[in-house]
Amino acid sequence: MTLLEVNDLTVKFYTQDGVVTAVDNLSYQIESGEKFGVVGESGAGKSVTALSLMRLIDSPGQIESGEILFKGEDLLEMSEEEVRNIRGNEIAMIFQDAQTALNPVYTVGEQIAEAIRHHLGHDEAEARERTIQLLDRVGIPEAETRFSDYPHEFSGGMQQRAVIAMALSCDPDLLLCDEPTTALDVTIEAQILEELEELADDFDTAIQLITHDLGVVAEVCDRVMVMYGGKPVEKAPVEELYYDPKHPYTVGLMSSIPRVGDDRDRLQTIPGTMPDLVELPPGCSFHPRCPYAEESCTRKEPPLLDPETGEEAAGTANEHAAACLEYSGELQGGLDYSVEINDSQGEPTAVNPEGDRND
Amino acid sequence: MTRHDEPILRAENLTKYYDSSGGVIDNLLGNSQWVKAVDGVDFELREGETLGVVGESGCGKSTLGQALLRLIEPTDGSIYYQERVDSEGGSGQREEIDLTEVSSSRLRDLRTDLQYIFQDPFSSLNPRLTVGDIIGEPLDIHGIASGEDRDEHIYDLLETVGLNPSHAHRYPHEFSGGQRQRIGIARALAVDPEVIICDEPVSALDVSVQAQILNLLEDLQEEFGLSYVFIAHDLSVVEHISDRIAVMYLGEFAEVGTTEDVFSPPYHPYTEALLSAIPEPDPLWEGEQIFLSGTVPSPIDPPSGCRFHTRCPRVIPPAEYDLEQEVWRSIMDLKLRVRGVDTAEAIAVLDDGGNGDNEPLTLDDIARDNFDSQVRAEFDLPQTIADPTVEQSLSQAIDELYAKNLGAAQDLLEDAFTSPCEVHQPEQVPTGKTHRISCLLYDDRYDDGQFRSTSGGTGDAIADD
Ligand code: SF4
Ligand code: SF4
Repeated sequence: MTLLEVNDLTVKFYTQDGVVTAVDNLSYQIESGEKFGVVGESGAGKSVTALSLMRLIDSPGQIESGEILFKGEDLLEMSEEEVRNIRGNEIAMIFQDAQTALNPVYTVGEQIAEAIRHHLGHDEAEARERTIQLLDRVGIPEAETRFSDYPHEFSGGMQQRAVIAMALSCDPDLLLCDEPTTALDVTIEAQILEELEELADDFDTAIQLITHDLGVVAEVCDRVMVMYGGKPVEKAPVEELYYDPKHPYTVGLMSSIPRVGDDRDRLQTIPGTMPDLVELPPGCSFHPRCPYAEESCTRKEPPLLDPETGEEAAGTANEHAAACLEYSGELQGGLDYSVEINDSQGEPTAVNPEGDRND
Repeated sequence: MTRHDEPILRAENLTKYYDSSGGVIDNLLGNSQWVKAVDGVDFELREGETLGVVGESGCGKSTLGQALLRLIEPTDGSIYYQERVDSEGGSGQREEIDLTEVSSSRLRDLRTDLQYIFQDPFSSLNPRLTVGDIIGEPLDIHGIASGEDRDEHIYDLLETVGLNPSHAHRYPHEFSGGQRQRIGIARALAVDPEVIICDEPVSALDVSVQAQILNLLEDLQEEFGLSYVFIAHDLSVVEHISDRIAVMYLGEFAEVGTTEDVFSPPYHPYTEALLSAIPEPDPLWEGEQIFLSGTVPSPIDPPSGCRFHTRCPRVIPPAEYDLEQEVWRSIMDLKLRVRGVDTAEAIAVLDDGGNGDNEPLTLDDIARDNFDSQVRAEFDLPQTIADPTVEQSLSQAIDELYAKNLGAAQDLLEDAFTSPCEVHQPEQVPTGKTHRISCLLYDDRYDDGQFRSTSGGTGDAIADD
């Protein structure tokens, strides 16, 4: 069943420097129980996407158009009251910075218990009991004692666990995680990701995981959307994205991460920097950085297409879709890269023969 | 590059303690609490190499970097730098100076050799200066260039780091994160340094930009013969850029070796866990992840013996017992938990099998056997442990817990279950020509799954019984 359906969402920010189109005509779907990854670098529009789902876009930002159907109902049409009911109840959110999600002047336990009472109508003792069980469930030792600790008495990893407990306390259908482990150490990150995955399965909760880290996506997600300049450039099931990437930006991202056991002397880079969202390059907005760009790329904006058939594709369910003129047959030179599987590790590494055109 | 056998930068017993007490009153009362951020580190950086320093937050790696250049004053230890001195006989003569001994004006002069690049390029660049003046500042301070010569220099530097020289009159906020890091690099290069300490230089950057900066740092190293200390938490980045790596845990080096040494067996158990935790960008990857118990202990009162023993999956069991490693780790976890709690109830979240009422459970609500099995479940301990001596001590301790005699339970557990890792501080053991590991598993006294301390004479036999 489709849990979430975002259609043609456009979000703009009216800033001094001009109008920033943070998200441009974005569409995607998440099935119930699915783990959906959103990958991109800063300015790709991934966090704005999540905030829109919670209707938390504040001035100078504005949702310009589109619809966000949650279980068939448009969040954008709802009253503030109705949205508040869904927020925290059916859709919960986990941010990068656990500290801001916890109120420093209340104990961790009180805050979670309060959320439970508010959303589920439990009495105080019930709420306390359920809170302790949840804290224990997310891997907080001595949960009974820690119930009355203040947030600052928790380590960063423990705080994030507490936030996860709070998010799960009302048994949401969708969990929005925005860089949930970026601030954490790698050993803690691994534990939290595993916990998150397991809990999502147990609670039958869908996850939208927003991250810049391709390693994190590979570990958790079933399906991925890669964003660039406020638009999706590729959508695919996770294995296909890593072993058979179709968009030059995805290829560039994959080849620019250093990997253990890879003895390339130099990393391949994507030349240049993220485009200015006030004035996106015309045509394909990746063209100033794309090693395969041609004249046509500066004129025509490529739609999301099925790379095999060249037909329009929404990239839902198991479809693979990429937004590059190669797939509409408008590229003369074609794309020329290969994916190498590193023998010792079995990892795919995208190799781009034009190499490093930077610096 | 290998003209000199002496490391270009070397530290002995480098130590930095911070006072974390509340202030004057605490000091008067003698309540100082010392955060042992860096605790007796020996360190060598060779000419032309990149030494990576990795570790998780709070391990002391940034403090180490800053103490090395005396950006913060070390509490103890010496730092030797081989300064290049011009002699008639030819270039390349070097003379050793102890940085901890030199005056502050001498130290300032030495900044032309020793530079630092910060993680956050934005906060380390003065927002009110143009990029040209930011890069020009060290030129002015050291009187390296002025007038047209200075401008020329600045344009060259901007070009060297891949920026457009015509941007010299712009301000930092007009640049992207990656470009700002390039400005920071240009500023460090301005004085033509020998050693640059790079403190998390790419961790605030986007993936695609990170690769550009890493390549730039490598190119500059080759061009100018620089030596780098590269401090980072990201193991894949460190692996990519380093010739040698030091792994840091709670203020100490757990392991030092060439990149290849550190990334292949034999491992320090902490490194092994770190490596297993890297999220691999491969959805089909099925490596076994090693989970560590607990969290990083406080550097104010670090654990005795090996500082990693509170979390180490391979912590050594007492020689007299025959125990599976996981079971032993669980017993240690139980012991450490009992040591840390205020009441016996806090050991585990008690569950009465869900009979409806939501009153918090106390020990009086459940039977001894039920408590026993809940404690074991909490710590993944088997219902009966195969070794009868171990089983006996354990169930006695659980009895005491059930009777709310926390102190008695603590004593029992400490008596029966003490790891050699809690008692002996591991030395750095050479495990190859270029590789040293601080772990008792590689100590001579460890053999065939057992650690036997040779009693008498060595002076570290205090707690052997
Ligand atoms: S459309 Fe052109 S510029 Fe855009 S990704 Fe494809 S080849 Fe590159
Ligand atoms: S000395 Fe003991 S606790 Fe420390 S790393 Fe080695 S096995 Fe682990």
